[in-house]
Amino acid sequence: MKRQRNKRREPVDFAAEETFHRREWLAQRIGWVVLAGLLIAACAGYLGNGPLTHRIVATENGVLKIDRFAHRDGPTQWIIQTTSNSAARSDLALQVSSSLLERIKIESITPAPQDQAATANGVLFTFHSLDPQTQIVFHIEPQYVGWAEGELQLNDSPPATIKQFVYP
Amino acid sequence: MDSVIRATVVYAVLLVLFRLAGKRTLAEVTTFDFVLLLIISEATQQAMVGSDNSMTNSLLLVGTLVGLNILLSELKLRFAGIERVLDGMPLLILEHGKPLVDRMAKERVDVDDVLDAARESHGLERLDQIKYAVLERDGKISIIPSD
Repeated sequence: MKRQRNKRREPVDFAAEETFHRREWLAQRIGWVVLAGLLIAACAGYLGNGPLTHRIVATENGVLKIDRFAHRDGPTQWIIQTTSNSAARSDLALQVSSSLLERIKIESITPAPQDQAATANGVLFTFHSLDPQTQIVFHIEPQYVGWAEGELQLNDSPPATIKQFVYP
Repeated sequence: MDSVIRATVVYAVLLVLFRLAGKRTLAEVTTFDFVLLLIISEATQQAMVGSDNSMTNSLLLVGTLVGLNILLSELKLRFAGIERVLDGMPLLILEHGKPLVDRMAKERVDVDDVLDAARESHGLERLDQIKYAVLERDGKISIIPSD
């Protein structure tokens, strides 16, 4: 295409450009509807934190609360609520699969585990002498965009599959 | 590559959002518009920089944004259609003292805005002293006084 310099020498023909403006207004209105939809989805939790974000997975030894959606480099949490019929303190072993660990950065764990050991499937975190109904919080930051999928296993319960979508 | 992608995506999204917002938002005519633009710049800064505060990353971001600006300028120069889509076109909103109400409503402009522009540019007091009022691409209103 030949470069055009000073192409508008004659006055603007406002009447002839009515069609362009009508299309522009229509495109704007459509864009507003899309924007409103995104904001509603965000408030609901489909783009991050919100009422529909949280997912709860029940296991024999505890309940896992994970966010379905997170943001890359944004803070999120895994909350493990232990369940025990006994009033006595007990130990808890939590195994996190390597497929999850590869995609996240663990900022901190509260309470801190007494031991961390590498296993064939990932990392085993060991907590000693926990009160019944203790809440363990993993403060994490996803490092990569896309689906983060893996398993969390409490003691000898069957592994619970975790799936989380990370937005850029 | 990550920095280039971030800068490109943020630039493109802001371009689309400001086109959706309409011409008047860019004119910074009210304190609210000015504050909005200030806050947007702060909000997008972290999205582009991320957790990498190195000089290399900053210079990459600046280079990407300048490069995109040059690329779009060249495309607008060569293709009139691209210029129309990216920048819009001027819009006649008042003719021989009579406001074109439908157009003004679509662009969220009222008669007071036209009178403000008329006073500032030509010292005019009334609509019948205005031959044409045009909402320019940058959101400013230009006034052509009656003879």
